[in-house]
Amino acid sequence: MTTDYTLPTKLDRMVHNPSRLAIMAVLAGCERADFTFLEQVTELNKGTLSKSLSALEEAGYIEIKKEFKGKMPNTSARLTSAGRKAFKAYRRQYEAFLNSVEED
Amino acid sequence: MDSKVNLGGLTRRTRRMEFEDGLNDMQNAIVFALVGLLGAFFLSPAGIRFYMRALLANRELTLIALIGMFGLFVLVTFGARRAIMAYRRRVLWKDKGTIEPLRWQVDSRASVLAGAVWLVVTISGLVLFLGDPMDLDSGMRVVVAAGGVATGLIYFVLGHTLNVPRYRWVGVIAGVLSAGLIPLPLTGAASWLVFAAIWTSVLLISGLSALRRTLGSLERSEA
Repeated sequence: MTTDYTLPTKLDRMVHNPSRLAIMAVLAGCERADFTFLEQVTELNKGTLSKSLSALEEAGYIEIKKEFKGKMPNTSARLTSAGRKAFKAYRRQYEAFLNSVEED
Repeated sequence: MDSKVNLGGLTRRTRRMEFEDGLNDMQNAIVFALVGLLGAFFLSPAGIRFYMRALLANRELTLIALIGMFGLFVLVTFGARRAIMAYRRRVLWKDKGTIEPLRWQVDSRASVLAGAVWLVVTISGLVLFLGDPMDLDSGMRVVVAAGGVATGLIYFVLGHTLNVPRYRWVGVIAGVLSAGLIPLPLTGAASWLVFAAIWTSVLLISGLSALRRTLGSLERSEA
């Protein structure tokens, strides 16, 4: 099998960023996660997490819900079906590239 | 954040979260207990007599009773789930943040495999142990045992893929004990009861031990 070295350039840049990738990996394991959980598991700071969530929302990969739980504001996010598809496609492409490099 | 992202690890850790405290095991233990009791009642001579009489005398009432029983089952199952999520939000996940777990955690390949195992165990059990085709008790025992083996396989695969070691044990112990039902001289109703007792007790032990660990670590982190 030959390696297609152009493959990494074809990866979805929105998903390829480490912070956004971490967020999508977490959201792929649940229906919805709140800001506190995302912050703890991804170890991103609040600013980076907020920015990355906004970028993913703009791309249509996640949906953000802001609500009040009791008196406390609560922000949570979930992957949209486009986001789930994009994450799966990214993993497939990346694994295919890594496998082709190893076999060479 | 470390610039290296362990994709599988992050997804697995998130999926694992709902199994860490053992409350799911206890909810499933209740479901198994209910299934066992209902199954045993429907298959017992008293249950069959009751429904035959009720069907002949008053069909509407029987139908209402059946819907009521099914409704109670759904209510207990979903009610327990809501109560568990509320407890997690207020106590167990208060500082960790909250997730809404995936609706279906078992991947489709494992489900297909479990279905195939159920079929194979049922067919081979019927061939090996069913001397008389009219022996409904043996037939029911094999079907119930096969269900236990298939469920054990699902737990084992879940434990393996999500790295929850106690689920491997739950799958092996309850699966093997369920298979042990096949040669026992039990009636159909009794086999349902024993099946439910196996799964209820194994899941309760698993759930209680996990909950104890979770509450212990919560106390330590608060101290």
